[in-house]
Amino acid sequence: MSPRDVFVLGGNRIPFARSGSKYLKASNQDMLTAAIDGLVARHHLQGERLGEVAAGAVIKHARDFNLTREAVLGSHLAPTTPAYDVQQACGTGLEATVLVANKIALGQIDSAIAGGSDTTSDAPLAVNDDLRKTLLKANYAKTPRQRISALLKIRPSQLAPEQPKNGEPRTGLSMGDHMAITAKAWGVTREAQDELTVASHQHLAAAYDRGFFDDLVTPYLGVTRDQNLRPESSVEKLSTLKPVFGKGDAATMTAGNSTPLTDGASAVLLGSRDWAQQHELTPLARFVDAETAAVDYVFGDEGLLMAPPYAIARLLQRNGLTLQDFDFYEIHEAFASTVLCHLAAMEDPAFCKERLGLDEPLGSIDRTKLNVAGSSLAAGHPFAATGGRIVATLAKLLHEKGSGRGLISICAAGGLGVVAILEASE
Amino acid sequence: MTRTVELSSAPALGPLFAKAVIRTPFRKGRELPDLVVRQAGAAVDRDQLAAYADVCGFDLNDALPATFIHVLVFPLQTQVMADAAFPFPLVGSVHLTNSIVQHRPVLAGESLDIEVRAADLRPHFRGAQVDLLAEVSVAGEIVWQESSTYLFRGQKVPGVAADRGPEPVLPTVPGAVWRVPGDIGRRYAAVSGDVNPIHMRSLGAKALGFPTTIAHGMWSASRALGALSNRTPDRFTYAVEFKKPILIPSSVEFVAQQHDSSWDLVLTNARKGTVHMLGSIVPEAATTIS
Repeated sequence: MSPRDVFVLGGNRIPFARSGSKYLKASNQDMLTAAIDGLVARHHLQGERLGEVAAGAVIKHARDFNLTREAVLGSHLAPTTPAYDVQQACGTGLEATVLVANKIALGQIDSAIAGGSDTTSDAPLAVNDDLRKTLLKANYAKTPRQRISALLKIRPSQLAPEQPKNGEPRTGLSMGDHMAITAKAWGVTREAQDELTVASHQHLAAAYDRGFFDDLVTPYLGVTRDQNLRPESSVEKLSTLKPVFGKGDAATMTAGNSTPLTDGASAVLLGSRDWAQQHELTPLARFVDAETAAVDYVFGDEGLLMAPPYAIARLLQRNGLTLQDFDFYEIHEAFASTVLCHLAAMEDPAFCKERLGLDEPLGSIDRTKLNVAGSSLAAGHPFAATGGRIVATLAKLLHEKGSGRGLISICAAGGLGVVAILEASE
Repeated sequence: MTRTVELSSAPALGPLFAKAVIRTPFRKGRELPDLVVRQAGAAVDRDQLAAYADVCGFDLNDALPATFIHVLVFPLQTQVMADAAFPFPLVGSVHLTNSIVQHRPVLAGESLDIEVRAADLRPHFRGAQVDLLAEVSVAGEIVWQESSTYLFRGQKVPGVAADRGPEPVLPTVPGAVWRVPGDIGRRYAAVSGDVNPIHMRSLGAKALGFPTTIAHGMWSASRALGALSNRTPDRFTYAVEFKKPILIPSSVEFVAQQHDSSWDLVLTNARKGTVHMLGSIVPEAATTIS
């Protein structure tokens, strides 16, 4: 059986909130359930058994070992809908979409929801690792004497909880520090980063104002728009912010042109053509193909967030396309400098020849087609929820246009990059 | 003539309980006061809602659990029962049954007009029983109604009490087992304001004739609805009958069986099988409480 066409049929997310704010009391499960239920309500899927639901979270409690299944059991989907968790850092939401799309293409399932949720407000705190080992030893002790002698090893210093670290385990550097190194290497200026940031805020605000998100966002806990959105943002205002990453002339990255910690969840509905017809749903876009790449940022000479250009090069080659064959580019704005480094690298003949093995550089893109409905700098970036936000946004943009093709690119911790192609459905 | 008390905010329950205790020796008469207590424009405190959802097992979202609205109504019920003209002492009253009609989902951002009165004083084989009737409206539309029946032990009113009724037929299927921690009374008191001493500490419970602390009946009703919150339709009647109190800490077994589109609920002691609560969820607000 040859692969079937797979379509994005709809998307839903809750507005993204700044960490420690409006969603302080909401868990990943609360938010993911809300995102799924909004999607279910909008597409009249109450009581429906879907092929599967795949979603995940990056910052996750140990008790959330079956997060997505628990969210399904708390949703209005049929309790007979299978589910599983996916975790691929910031690539989680898009990778979940790829996984379910592949199953639909193979005919293993006819419909699915892919999504993700993240909260840094309700983050897990771990017990100190020494204390954990002591408690485990006491737990496995065979005699009371052994247990007491194990417990007597607890020291006051072990009672402090393990601080959650925002850094790469193998380099000890935060993502921002890594990005600052790459930004300097590519000569990305502060002004260019601030300009990209302003465009993101303006595009997102304009998209809200024209009602673009009316059928993509469901209000949650009294929040109706992304809390991080600053429609009045300007290069002048951004230029007053102090750099937070990098040193000396590499200090170009600020809290304005980096994404803030954010809470939120998103979900995307996919299905085969037949399933969509049976449920009277309009295909928004065809999910064409996807590619994931990884780079050696540990000992190799590549930046942590530079995997997407590698993935894009392979994806274009496999599909016989050039970088210019797209009507929309959705490049996730982890930092403004990330997007600018990707664009610079793809234009650079040396990078494209030496790193990507191409005779010709991928070339430049028409910047007016980039993140036209805003992206993570304005909306915020609840790690696993970003993929679903972007897939739904691009699918709707393509449906509005009625033709054309879009490219999604998402960088992730661990030197990962996930990219995908969507096409308007005829 | 109906006496109406308009409240601008929910009354604090601690002072109401205290006032009710002080008035106990002076209560007389065997008639309910013609009294309506109202609160217009009540707003939901989202922190309270989040804490309630956590204690009662609801997902946190913008639709109010039908049993959460009881928490908003309860202070007004207490105000009616603490009123000088109310014939029976509030402290020691027993919540027998509770019936909620949700006419449509109510959202956390809505402004709620609450009205409560007492009705239908009648004999019970252990004393006298009264219905506390509550109505919640949004912009003139009734969205939620409740009838809470309370027993006042040893009180006599004219008439013949109904029989105990037949013993319930219990399900034989296994259910979910919930561990009910010893502090659930204090935790539910913190989110509901119902600080009745029988729920707080074993000493308080013993002083009022219980072997130890007992869980709030409305906590078990809330916890049961929370377990089914995504299986209930938009319009439904949720009726529960409280049997033996849950002595805490304890493990209870919860069985929910679906018949057509209705649910039958049973909450029993996981070890002994004694019945704590019987309930039903019936779709379409078939009846209104008048």
